[in-house]
Amino acid sequence: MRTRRISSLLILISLGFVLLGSAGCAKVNPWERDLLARRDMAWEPDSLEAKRESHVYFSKEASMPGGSGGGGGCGCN
Amino acid sequence: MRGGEIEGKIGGAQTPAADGHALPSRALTALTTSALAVPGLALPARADTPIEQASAAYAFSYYVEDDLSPGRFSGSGDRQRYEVLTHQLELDFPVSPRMDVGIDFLQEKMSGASPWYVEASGDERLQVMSGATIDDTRYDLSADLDYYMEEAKDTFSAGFSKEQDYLSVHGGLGTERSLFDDITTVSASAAFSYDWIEPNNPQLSLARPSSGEKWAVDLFGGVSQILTRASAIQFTANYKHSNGYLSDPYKAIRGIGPSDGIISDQRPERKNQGSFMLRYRHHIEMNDLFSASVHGDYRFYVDDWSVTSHTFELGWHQNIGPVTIVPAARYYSQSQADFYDTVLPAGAQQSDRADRSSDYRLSPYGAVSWKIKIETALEDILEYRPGNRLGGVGFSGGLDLFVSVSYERYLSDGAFAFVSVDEKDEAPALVDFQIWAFTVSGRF
Repeated sequence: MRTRRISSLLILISLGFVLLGSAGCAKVNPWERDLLARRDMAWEPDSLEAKRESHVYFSKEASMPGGSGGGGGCGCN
Repeated sequence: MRGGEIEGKIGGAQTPAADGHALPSRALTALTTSALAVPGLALPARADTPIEQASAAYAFSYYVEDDLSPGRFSGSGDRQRYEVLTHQLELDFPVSPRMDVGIDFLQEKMSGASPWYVEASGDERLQVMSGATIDDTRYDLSADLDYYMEEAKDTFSAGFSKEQDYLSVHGGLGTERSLFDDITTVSASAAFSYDWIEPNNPQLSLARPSSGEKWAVDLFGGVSQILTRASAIQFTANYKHSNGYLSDPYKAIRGIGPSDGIISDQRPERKNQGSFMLRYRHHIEMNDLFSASVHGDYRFYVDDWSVTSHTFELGWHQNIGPVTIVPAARYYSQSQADFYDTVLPAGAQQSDRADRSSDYRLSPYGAVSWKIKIETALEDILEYRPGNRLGGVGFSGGLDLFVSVSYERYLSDGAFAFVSVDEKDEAPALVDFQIWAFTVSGRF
């Protein structure tokens, strides 16, 4: 069971790096990044909403938020 | 963190729908997610400079859980569960040509009854709720300082969170580097937190401790990558080690036998958690008035209490002139902790099970949620003359306002899980809730 979990973890990590690596040769010039710079293209376009939801999920689910901390507070009740 | 701000301002110069309210946050949020949002997607000219305009954002939200259904309830407690009224405020402003500061404040009032322990009736499981309604207020204050260098940024964050029975302090350091002409951004951070808990009314519950402490170290690493002119991807990994009092003093578990009593919730004093997240963003230009961005996120989580989980999120940001409509959906599924049980076997004593918990958050279940948000941008609605002092902290002489309302519905159930959940293992307290939120932000 533990071995299976570790394998699936390794597969996932590898997949992440393969996906990123496969894009390593992409050439997007600085002056071509207007679409990427849009607010609706941000990883977290609305920080207050992201923090609020992160805290709610941290308080109500067993998992740790990915990429950001649930942080402060008991999360009890 | 002010990733959105920098992006917003860059976008603001070039795209009509851009926004940019400031995004300061507590330690990890500042050091991780939002931090990554900046250089990977921002223009190089701005990626290594502080924000130029000050900004402020305020949000009010109402979180309310559904009442526990009569068919899953036992005892004389209150079926009415938690509701939370939250005020959030964040400020971001430049303080020097190389530094900017973010300040984040939160106040929330919580009230309602809380799940206590579970009764068994044959295969059926019924929830006993806490007798008294809990009323508490939480205050959270955090600040972060960003220092910008050529193709790089370092961040320092610190903050605390205080409730009547709980105090948490935290601090962290983070760094990020832009590579290959800002096509790739690499980030790393470390944070430390220390928490103290002093449960209310320790005399009211068996083995409820009079106090407890814990500490945690959180490490983070991430890579974000521009794929094409309209798409980007990000991979992040988190590891967290917690040590100390990790139980819930307000929860208990009982034996199934008629003469068995209830005993306290007790969890291991150590926990190792890992999560891996993959995020994708893609923009679709339709015409001068219409455009859209697609957001897809996947997270895998695992810990050494045997919980694993999968989370999928999909969002569609539809821009129609100055208005953006965002429908989004989320699916979550987790397995149970190895010491979770709704009830203990007949005759089980405290000593038989060193670790035990009936907490629904450690049970096997799945959850679906959906959300709709509407935002509008009101740009250049005011002009003013900032003095030298205000000009020095990013007041530019104009004001842009952004207003949004949103509604989210969340439903959880054993039947929604990836794997089938036995009736005897399904927690009767699995929660359904909704969140209403209103946000207004300004860029000065």
